[in-house]
Amino acid sequence: MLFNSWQYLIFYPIAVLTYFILPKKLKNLWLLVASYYFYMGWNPKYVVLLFFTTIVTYGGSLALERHRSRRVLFTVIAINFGILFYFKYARFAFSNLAWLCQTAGIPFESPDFDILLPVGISFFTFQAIGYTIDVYRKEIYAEKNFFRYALFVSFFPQLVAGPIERSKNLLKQLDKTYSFSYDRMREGMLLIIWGFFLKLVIADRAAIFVDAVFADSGKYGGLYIVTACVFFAFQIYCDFSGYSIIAMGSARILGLELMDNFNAPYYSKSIREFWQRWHISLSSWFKDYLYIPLGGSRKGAVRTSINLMIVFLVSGLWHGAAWTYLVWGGLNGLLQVAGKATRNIRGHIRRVLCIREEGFSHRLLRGAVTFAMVDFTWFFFRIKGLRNSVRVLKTVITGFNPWIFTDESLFQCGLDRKNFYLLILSMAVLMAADYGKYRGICIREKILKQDFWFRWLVFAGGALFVVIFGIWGGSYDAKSFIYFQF
Amino acid sequence: MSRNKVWEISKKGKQLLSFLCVIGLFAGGMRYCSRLLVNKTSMKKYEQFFHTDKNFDVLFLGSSHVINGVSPLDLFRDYGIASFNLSQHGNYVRSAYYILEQTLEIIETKNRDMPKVVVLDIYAGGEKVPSLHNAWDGFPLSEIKRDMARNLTGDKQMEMTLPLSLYHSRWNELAAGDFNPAINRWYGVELRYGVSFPGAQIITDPEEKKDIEEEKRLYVDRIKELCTSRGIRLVLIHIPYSYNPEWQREANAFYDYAEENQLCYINYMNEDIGIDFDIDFFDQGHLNPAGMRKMTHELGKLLQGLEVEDRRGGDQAEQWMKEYRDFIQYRISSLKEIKQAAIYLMSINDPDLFSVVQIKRSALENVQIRKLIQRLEEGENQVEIVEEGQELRPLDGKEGEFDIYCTVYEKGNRDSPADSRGFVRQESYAVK
Repeated sequence: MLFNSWQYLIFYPIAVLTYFILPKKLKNLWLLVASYYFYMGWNPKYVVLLFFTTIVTYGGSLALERHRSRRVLFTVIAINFGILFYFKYARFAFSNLAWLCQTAGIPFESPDFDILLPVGISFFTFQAIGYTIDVYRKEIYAEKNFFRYALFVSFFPQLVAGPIERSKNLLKQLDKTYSFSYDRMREGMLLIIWGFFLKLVIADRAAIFVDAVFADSGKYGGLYIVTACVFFAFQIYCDFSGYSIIAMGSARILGLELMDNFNAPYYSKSIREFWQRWHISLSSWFKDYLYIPLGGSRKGAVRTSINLMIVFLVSGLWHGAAWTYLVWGGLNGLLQVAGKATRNIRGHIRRVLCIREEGFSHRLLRGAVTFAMVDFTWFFFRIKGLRNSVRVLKTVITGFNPWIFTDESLFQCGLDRKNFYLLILSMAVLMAADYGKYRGICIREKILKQDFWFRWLVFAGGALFVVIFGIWGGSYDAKSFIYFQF
Repeated sequence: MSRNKVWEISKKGKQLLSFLCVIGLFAGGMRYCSRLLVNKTSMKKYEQFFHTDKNFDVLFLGSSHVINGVSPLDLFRDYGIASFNLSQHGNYVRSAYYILEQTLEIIETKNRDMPKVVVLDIYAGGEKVPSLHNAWDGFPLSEIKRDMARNLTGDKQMEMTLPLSLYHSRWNELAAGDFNPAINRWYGVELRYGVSFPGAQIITDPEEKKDIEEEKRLYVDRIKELCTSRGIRLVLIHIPYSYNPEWQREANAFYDYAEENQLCYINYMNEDIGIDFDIDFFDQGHLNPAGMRKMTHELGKLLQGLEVEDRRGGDQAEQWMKEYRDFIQYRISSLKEIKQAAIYLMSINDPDLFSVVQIKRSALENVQIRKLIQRLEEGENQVEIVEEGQELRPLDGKEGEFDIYCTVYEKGNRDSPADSRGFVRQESYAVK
C-alpha cells in the first residue's frame, strides 16, 4: 500500500480510530494486524517473508540472550542476508558470473530468476538484524513478547521505506500504549501535509522533467542533463524524505516518535557532513554495525579509507543490484576519502589566500561544491547502464547549449512554463524550510504556536495546495516511492 | 464539578471546534476548487436544467447530432412544446440511459412534472471516457452516477466520481470562463455555425441492415423499461448525417426493433424533410442552424401528432417567449463573428431576420452560394443580383469593392440594420 494511494487514505483513519477506541491490551495487537494488512496490500504472498524474518530474529535473539554465541549471531545474520541476497542480488550476481565465465571461456548458464523484489525487504531485514546485534552486544534485552517484537519489525508507517528504526528507540516506545492526544494529532497532520507536499508537488513534478530527459538522452544533451540532474537531486530527496516525514506523521498521531531521517542535507559543506544528514537511519546503521566493527577510524588512515570504501560500496549495493549503484557508492566513498586526505592541503591554501573558514563566501562555496559533487554522484544513481552513463556524460561535456535557459526549450521536457516555475518555487520553499532546520529552527513548532486562524489556514490551505498542485490521480499513475525498490 | 473539570471540557470543546473548522475550511476549499477547475462543458449544458422551475413535456437524448439538431426554443415558438435537449457530445445510448435516470430523479426530487415523451437518437455507441466527462462532470455525485461510472468507465471510475482527481492539474489552464462560465440558456441546443464542403455523401440504402449491437440493444431496452415505469412514451429517431455506413445500417435495423417493441421510430435519414447535405450541415455529421430548424420543425410535427400539449397559452409561455427573444439577439450577436460568406448567408436565412442581399452574378458560380441565395429568395428576403461590371451599392453606404453585401434587419425593425457585412471573392468570399 502506498502512502499516496486511496487505500492508505481509507486504511489510515480506520487504523488510528480503532487503535484509540480499543482497550489498552488490544492496541498493539491491532497495530500488528493493521501492519500486516498494510504489507499484504502490496502482495499478500510475501507477508510470509516478513513473518519468517520476524520469527528467525526473535528466536535468535532469545537464544543469544541465553548464550552469547557468535555462531548463533552469524546464523541469524546469514539466514536473513541469504533471503535478501536471493530476492535482490541473485540475478545480478549470476548474470555477472555468467559474463565472467563467458569471457574466460568457461561454459556456464545463469539460472533464470523471475522473482519479484519484496517491497521494503532491505528495510525490515536491516532493522531486524540491527536488533539481533544489539541483543548480542547486550545493549538491549531480547523482547520476550513475540507480538510486540513482530510489531517492531512490521510497524506499518516505516515498514516499506524506513526509517530503519533502532530497537532502543522504537521497541521501548512499543512497551507503552497511547491514548489520543490533540497536540500529537496536530503535529502529525502537519508532518503528513508537509510530506505529501514534498512527494506530490516537488518529487513527482520533478520526475516528469527528469524522466523525459533521461528517457531520450540522445536528444537532450548538455545542459539539459545538468538541469535534469539538479532536479533529480530534489526529486530523490523529496521522494524519500517525503515518505519518511509521512511515516513520522502517521506514527506521531499514534503516539510514537520515529527518528528524523533527513536534516537539511543540501546545506552540507562536505560529503562527510552530507552523509550525516542524508538517510540518517541507514548511515548510522552502517556506522554502528559495519564501519565500527571493521575498525572505524581507529586503525590508521589507510585502514580508515578502506573501511569507508567498504561501507559506501555496500551502501551502493544496498540501494540496488546494479553496477551504477556500486559506482555511485564508490564515488561517495572516494570523495569522502579524498576529503580527508586533502584536508591539510585545503587548510594550507586557505591560510595562504587569507580565506576565512567561517566567512559566508567560503561557506557558500563549500556548500555549492558539495552539492555539485553529490549531484554528480546522483547522475550514476539515475542513469541506466554504465556504458550509457559514459555516453551521456560525453554529451554533457560536448553539447554546450546554454540557450535552453533563454529560449523555450526547457518547457518542452514534460513540464510547461507554469509547472516548471511552480517546481522552482516549491524547491525554494523547501530550501527555505531546510535552512530553518539547519539553523535549528523548528518551523512546525513555530506554526503550532501561532493564533488559531493562522494555524487553520496553514492546515486547510496546505492540504488544499497539495491536492491542487500535487501530481496525482487522473491519467497520471502515481509513481511508486523510489525507495521501495530497495 | 470542579472549576478545573469545567475548563478541561471547555478545552476539549475548543479542540473539537478547531478541528471541525479546519475540516470545514478544507471541505469548502475543495468544493470551490472542484467547481473552478472542472471542465465546464457539462456544467454549461445542464445548469439551466438544474435550476429551472419549468416543466418539460419532452426530453431529447442522444449525441452531438441532437445537440445541433433540436432547438427547444424553436419547438416552443412554433408548436408550444416545452422540451429540454439533454443530449451531449460523444454520448450515445448507454450514457443516455443514465442521464435519463438521473434527470428523472432530479425531476422527482424537485417535485416537477414527469415528461410525457422521451425522444432518443439511436445513433452510434461506445462512449469514450472524456465524452462521459463532458456529460457527467456537472452532475452531483449520486448512486446513478456511480453506477454509470462503474459500468461505462472501466478503471477510470475514480476520476468520474471525483472529478477533481482528474482536473486538479487544470490550474494552469484557468481562464476567465472558468470563473464566470457562460451557461447555455437555450435549453440544451448548441448552434454550430458552418457550412460543410459539398462532396460525396455516404448514404446507405434503407434496405441495408446490420445487427444492433447487443449492449446497445440492452440499453435501449433499459430506457424503454425506465420510460414505461414512469408512464413516459419513448420515441426513437435517427437524425441525418452523411458518413459511417455501419451506423446507418444499424439504424435501419431499428425498424424491426421498434416494431417488435411497439415503439415509434423515425429514421430521418430515409425521410424527405428538405435537408440539403450541401448547405444544411456544419460538417458531415452535424446540422448547422439552418438544418437544425428543419429537423426541429419535423420533430414538432411528430410530437404534435403524439398529442403533446401546446403550452403557448400556459402560465410559463411568457417566460418561454422572452427567452426566445433573447435567443434571437444571441443569433444576431453570433452573426458578427462569422467570417465567410456561405456561413453568413446560411445564418441570415432565419425566420426572425429580414435580409437585403446584393450579389454579383459571378458569385453564384459557387454551388453553395447559389443554393443559399436561392433559399433566401424563397424566404421573405430581398436579393439583388448585380451584373458584372457594376458595383454593389451597400444600403448603409459602406464603401469598397464587394462581391456580396448583406444588410440584416431584425423582423419588425427596419429602421436600423442589426448587422451588415461585405464579402469578396478571394479566400472563399471572406469578410472584408
